[in-house]
Amino acid sequence: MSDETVIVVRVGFNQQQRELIERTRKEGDAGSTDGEVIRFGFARWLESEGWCLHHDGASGSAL
Amino acid sequence: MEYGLRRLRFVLQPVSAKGVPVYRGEVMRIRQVLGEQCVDFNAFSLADYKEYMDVSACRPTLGFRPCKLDIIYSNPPRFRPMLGIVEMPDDCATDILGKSCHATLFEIAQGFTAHTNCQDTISEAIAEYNLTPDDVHHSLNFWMNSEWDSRGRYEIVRNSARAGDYVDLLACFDQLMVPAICGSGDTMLTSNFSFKPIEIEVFAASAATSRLADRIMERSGRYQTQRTVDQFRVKSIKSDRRLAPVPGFQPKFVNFPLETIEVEVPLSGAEYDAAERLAAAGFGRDVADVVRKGFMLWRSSRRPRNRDWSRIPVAWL
Repeated sequence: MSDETVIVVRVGFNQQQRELIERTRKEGDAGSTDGEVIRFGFARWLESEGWCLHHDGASGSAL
Repeated sequence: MEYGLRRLRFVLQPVSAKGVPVYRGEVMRIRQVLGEQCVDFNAFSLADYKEYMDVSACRPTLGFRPCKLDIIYSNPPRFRPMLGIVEMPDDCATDILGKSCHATLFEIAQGFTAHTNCQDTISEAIAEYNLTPDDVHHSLNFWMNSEWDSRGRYEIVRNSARAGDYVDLLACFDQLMVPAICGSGDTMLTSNFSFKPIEIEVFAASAATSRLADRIMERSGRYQTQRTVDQFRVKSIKSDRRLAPVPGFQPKFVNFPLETIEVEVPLSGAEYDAAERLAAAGFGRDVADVVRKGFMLWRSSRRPRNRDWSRIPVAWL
């Protein structure tokens, strides 16, 4: 799947988790919307786990 | 740090304990007389015995071997700074995982129907204050040389306390401190197979110790969620023993029911691909679950756990 493709995933968060997302957003370095903040954090986590997010797809250990 | 004048000194003889009122800013010193003696310790708020030292609540932050400069808290939802360990030898083995020894342990393990044990020793000491055996709580164990393995099992190893070693405990609020000579040490290795006396001293508050107690409370006793009895749903202490439901009772759980809202998260193809593979490998129920877990793990790693509130800064001594 091309990295230029954008796929929107609907992810459920309860109000406590959303409070953390909002605080992260207000810190200002992860995105301007909740969705952007979540994507930013998810991508950073993938990288920290050793995933290489190539333009033509992800590679890395599945766990 | 300069303490006030010593206002109390006595020697605990084997095997006994004593409840000692220690007031805010005062310091209790627990000193080895001959060495090699394990000491169990309980503490209760003098204003409300239902508030007591809760070592289990301290484990997530302190681990299970508190050391010098650690702060020991009372039981949630009070969770107030209760004790500051202002002096302790680096090699004093503490343990807040193991429960105090009790009578049945000795009957099962060694066939005794009457053997000294910390549960009964502390019970007897706090009876002076009309507290019951059920009020004995998990102990802060000093000079408790235990070894825990990766399976969670433990064994006792040789007691390493030396004559003259001491621990100083600062009272952050008025409390009944209860040091006890551990009753297991003659037939177990806990105290190297002989009981020894322990010296107890209490030093009056000085300007320095009062200031230290103030600073600890100002920093670590200011949270909105450190509740007091007037905030409890049930404020009175139950006077009968049998449990029965309150007719018509409706619980009021925190944030209940939790409300989940879906947030639209735009992922790149590579990110989506990774999430799919992780879901397939069992990391999450589906892609959304993987994204949520990944985000929350990132959020947690970005905010390392702050342990400052459970430690006394050296500069404060």
